[in-house]
Amino acid sequence: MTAILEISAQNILSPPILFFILGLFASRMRSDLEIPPAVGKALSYYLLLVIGFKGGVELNASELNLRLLNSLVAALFASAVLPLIGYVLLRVTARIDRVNAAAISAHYGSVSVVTFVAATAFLGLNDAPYEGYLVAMMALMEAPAIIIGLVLAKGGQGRRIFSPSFVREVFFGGTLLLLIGSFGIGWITGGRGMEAMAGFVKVPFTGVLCFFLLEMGLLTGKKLSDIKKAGIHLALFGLYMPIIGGAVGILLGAFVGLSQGGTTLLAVLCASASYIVVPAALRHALPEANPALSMPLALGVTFPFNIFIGIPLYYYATQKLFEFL
Amino acid sequence: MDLKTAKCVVIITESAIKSDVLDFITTLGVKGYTIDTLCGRGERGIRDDDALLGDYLRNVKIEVVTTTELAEKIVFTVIEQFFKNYAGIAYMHDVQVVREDKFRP
Repeated sequence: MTAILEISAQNILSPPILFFILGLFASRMRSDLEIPPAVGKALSYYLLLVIGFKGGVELNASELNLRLLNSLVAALFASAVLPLIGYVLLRVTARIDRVNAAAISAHYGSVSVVTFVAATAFLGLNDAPYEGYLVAMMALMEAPAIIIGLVLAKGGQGRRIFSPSFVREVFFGGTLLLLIGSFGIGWITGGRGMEAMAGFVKVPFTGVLCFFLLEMGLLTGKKLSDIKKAGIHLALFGLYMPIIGGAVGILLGAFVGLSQGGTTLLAVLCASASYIVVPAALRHALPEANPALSMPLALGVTFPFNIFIGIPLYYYATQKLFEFL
Repeated sequence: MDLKTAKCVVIITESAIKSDVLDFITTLGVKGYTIDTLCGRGERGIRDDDALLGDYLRNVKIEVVTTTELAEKIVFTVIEQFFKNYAGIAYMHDVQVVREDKFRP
């Protein structure tokens, strides 16, 4: 028990998390602290570029094998199965209507890149290495969740899912394109590329992450007030769904043979909920769904839960499972 | 040169459907428009300017100067076509223009 407390304390007392708390605090105190929107966006692009590039470089250094293929399939599988679990839970426990239950569960099958980045920083603190292709797994976890969510919402009514604007949003959205593109560039250029980029991608990384989490704290603080409208059953879903997702991720990670760090990251991916790509895509594909239900949940409940408790918890659980194996 | 009266149609709606609305009014015969990005509050809550979460949370304002006939058609059909599930308002007002021909469909 002391081990998990130690890990949690170490997590909370790291600069990125403390900056997140500062942002939350500022927002609750209605401070005028504000990151200009364009700066926030630039910071998020920086993080995507770095995380994609690093993943690609690491993939370049490792050999392509069956484990890689299995891991990618596992990511697709998790992204498709988690919305089904979420949908049933929402219908039964929170009595949410069909369309909104489908929409919310799609958010939970997909991923939050920022949570992933925060988890890599946490693993860095704990000297736990992870497989570079986790980034590729992350990129695969958007589309299946959205498609399953749409099928759940529309059922046999046979409405067209793949409109051009939907395809553009899901497969060529700025976030995903930059992530995959940087991954590809890292993969092609490998160690040589890393040498050239080191000053840009290595040293400023933690600082930028702190700055970005400050902004996330301000945003999360704003969304917190909307949770009351969503109701207690939904708020609870935002707390227990990541634990279910995390457990699925840990089991899958161990099953396909990921390292301890990699398994933790897969758990984080399964536990996190999207608040950028999925809501934007659903706005086109499922306009009947109410974004005022899913956004506060993903951003106001699940995101801070994962940042404070989830990441160290999944790391600890993975450690225990690997000792057992 | 005289000043002539024309109509200015203003459509304020979610950025998410910007291109759909533009495609739609283009098929009605609109040849030109002006767009701005903004935020505001309506019955669907505050539409804010958190660029971080993507532009779909913002609003766009589309302005079209045109003839009375086309302006009315735009206002009625855009409301019918888009505003059941999306946040939005559409209205029109008089404007004085010099080059009237420029704004004919």
